[in-house]
Amino acid sequence: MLVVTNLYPPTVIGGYEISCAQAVDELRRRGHEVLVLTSVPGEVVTGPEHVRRVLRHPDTFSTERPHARSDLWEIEANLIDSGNVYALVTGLQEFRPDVCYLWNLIGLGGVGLVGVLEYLGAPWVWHLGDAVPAYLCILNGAVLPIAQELSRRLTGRCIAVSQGLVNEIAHVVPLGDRVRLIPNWVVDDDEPLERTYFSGGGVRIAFAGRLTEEKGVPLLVDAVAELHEGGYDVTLDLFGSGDRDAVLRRVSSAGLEQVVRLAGWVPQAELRRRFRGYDLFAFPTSHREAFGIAPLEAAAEGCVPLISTPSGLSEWFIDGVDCLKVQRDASSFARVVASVCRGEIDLAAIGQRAAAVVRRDFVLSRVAPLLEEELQLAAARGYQPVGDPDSVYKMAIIAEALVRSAVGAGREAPADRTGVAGTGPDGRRR
Amino acid sequence: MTARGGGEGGGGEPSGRPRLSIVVGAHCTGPHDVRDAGRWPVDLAEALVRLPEPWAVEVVAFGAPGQHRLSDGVTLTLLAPAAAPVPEARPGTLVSWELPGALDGADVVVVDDPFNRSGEVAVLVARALGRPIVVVDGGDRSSSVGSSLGVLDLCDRVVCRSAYGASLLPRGVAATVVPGGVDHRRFSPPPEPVPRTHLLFAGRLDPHAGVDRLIEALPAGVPLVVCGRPGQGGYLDRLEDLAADRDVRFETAAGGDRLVSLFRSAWATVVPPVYLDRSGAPRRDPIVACTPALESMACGAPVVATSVGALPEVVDDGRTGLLAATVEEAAGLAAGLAHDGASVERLGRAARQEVLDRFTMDAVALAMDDVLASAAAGRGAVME
Repeated sequence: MLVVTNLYPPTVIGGYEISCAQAVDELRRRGHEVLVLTSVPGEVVTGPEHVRRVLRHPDTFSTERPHARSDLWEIEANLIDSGNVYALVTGLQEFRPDVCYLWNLIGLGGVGLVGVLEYLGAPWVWHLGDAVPAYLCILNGAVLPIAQELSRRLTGRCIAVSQGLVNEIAHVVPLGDRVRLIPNWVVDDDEPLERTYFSGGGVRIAFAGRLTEEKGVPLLVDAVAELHEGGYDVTLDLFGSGDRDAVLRRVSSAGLEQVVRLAGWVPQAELRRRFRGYDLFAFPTSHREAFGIAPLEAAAEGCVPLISTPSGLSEWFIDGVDCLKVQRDASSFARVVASVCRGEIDLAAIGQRAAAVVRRDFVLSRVAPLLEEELQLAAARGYQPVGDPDSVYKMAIIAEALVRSAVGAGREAPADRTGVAGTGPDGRRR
Repeated sequence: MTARGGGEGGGGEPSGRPRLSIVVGAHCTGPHDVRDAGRWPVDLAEALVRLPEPWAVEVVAFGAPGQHRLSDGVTLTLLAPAAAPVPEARPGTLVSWELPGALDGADVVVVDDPFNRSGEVAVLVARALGRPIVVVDGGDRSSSVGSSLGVLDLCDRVVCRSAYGASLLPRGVAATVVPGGVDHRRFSPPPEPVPRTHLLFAGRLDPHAGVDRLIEALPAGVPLVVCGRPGQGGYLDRLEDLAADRDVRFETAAGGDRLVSLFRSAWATVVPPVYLDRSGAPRRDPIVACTPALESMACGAPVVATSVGALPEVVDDGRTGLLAATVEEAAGLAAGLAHDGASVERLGRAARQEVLDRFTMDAVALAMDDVLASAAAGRGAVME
């Protein structure tokens, strides 16, 4: 199978591309021949042999210089990039996969890449850990009518990690009945779960993820402030990177320097081990969160997920059984933690059930056969080409020129159109 | 006629007629003005349904979305333009997100003018849908994107409306030349003789049309009617300035019936395109399709033309009209006809007969039918 993903380890933003690599490794372990097409990395990377780092990818995730983005840049990042079409066509011709397995296509000219697969009739499955089809069809906040065409004409299958994600995508690109819900996963770990839970003293809370408002970090700091004012003994460790200065200012203004700690970025395996030292994993994320992986990893280690609802993750867990669910506001989070502090919630029972559920149903060894089923279902359709590789590349070149022309040649152009390794429009290394 | 793509399963109509979509990159409001958007493709559509083995034809243009019946077997589908058209928007600049849906059921797609924005996008969409594509080069080269990047490679057959037009195509492109295309029933001599009162220019008012030099060169006392849509900005203003003290009348919004009337009452139609306009700007393709010249001939009004572009393919000098080396010479020859009724009638009769013999839309439909059938059967080959 031919995997297409915008980023691939060691270049990662979050769980989406890490999951992609885990899926690739597992599928290879299960005997599948896999070739990965991904973007030019931010540093020289040697191997593995099954990964080709050849795709062009502007730094669409940069938030430091938003003015550097332009309509042209967004159109090329979302709609069409003839260089990436060439790489995909070449990959298809050389590798002749039974099925293409698409992941995050943002930044790669994703609409064009899907169009290529449709034109060449290649079977494909799109693994949706984010609202990628919707993002690809939005320019300056407006939905491009091409979304309707995508919805009507796509013949591939989709895997989505939550119904909430499917619903969000459906506002722009209805996916119909070709979607199967398959949850995110953690890698299998047979190590016995040995840990302790809060039994008086302080409640230990962890958070891991981007330190942003969307992930709910300010809300969490405010909740801890409420608890602190109420005399409750809690600590909060924030793992991850992001807007550290804003978080520090908020912590400082609330006088929580001894209570809230910025623990920085920690490697995934190490982070998972550390979760055993926490009672709660607080995840006050936006309702648009498709399915956070960090709370799943925490749950696997018996750390009780305290998650906002609605969110993708909350669809898969039961309040009071294997997680705690709350509305997404600081007071609601504070109230639940206060209950824990007062001994009103049996954390150990919930944590042990959560660990058992995750280690049984949300591990890669359990999910991989489901992925295989979808991939085989798509592959069974076989190739049904509309046209040939030469003409689809020619079409891509012309389409790219037309969108450039439509946007206007004089407009600001992206800095990273050369394919030179790893710098975004702001010069920042990825 | 040879094998066609429709009728049996495929996208053909229940009646068995293969379905043809003709994309016209212009804006119209409905059946009453669709010919102003594109006379040749609409006339072709109606001629194709008159063939012994007719096509079902859908003319696809731009305007308020909807479908209209043009005649038996011919529908007009209007698509919402992606951007609202402005009054001065050139034909050929319009595109629509609805185009894929409109072309989805076609057995063959004809793109009228592939070298403008509408045509480029239509070729891409039709190719993405896997439809056989026949492009007709009528001379609009308002975009260089497709021509420079090989848009014709995506097409199954290329038709040029003149040998001169074919000579302008990229080397190696095999084009079929299908000249002419006049509705000789509509464009016809008057049933009863009418007084001839003027010389006529008919066509889009762009600098390479040579009208400025024509106005300057015409002797005093010879009335000229300039009939055409304003083209590139400022040219009409310049013409009006030149015409200030002369017997020149402008009609910039005349529809088809008025145009017929103007042809019928003209001593001659002057077609004076130039390769270099007054500003020195070159134009390789000032005239490729010669539609106004043919319409004039069909009405019995001889053509006086510069020997430029495809005009020598249409005008037989001294028999069906007059050819001149320069605009100034053409102006002199035309002015002479204003005082030579016998020559006007002789040339006019021969011109009308030439149209009937060589340039009717029925003849074009027969030639196009072969091209369309070969494209539908997958026997197209653009590159030699």
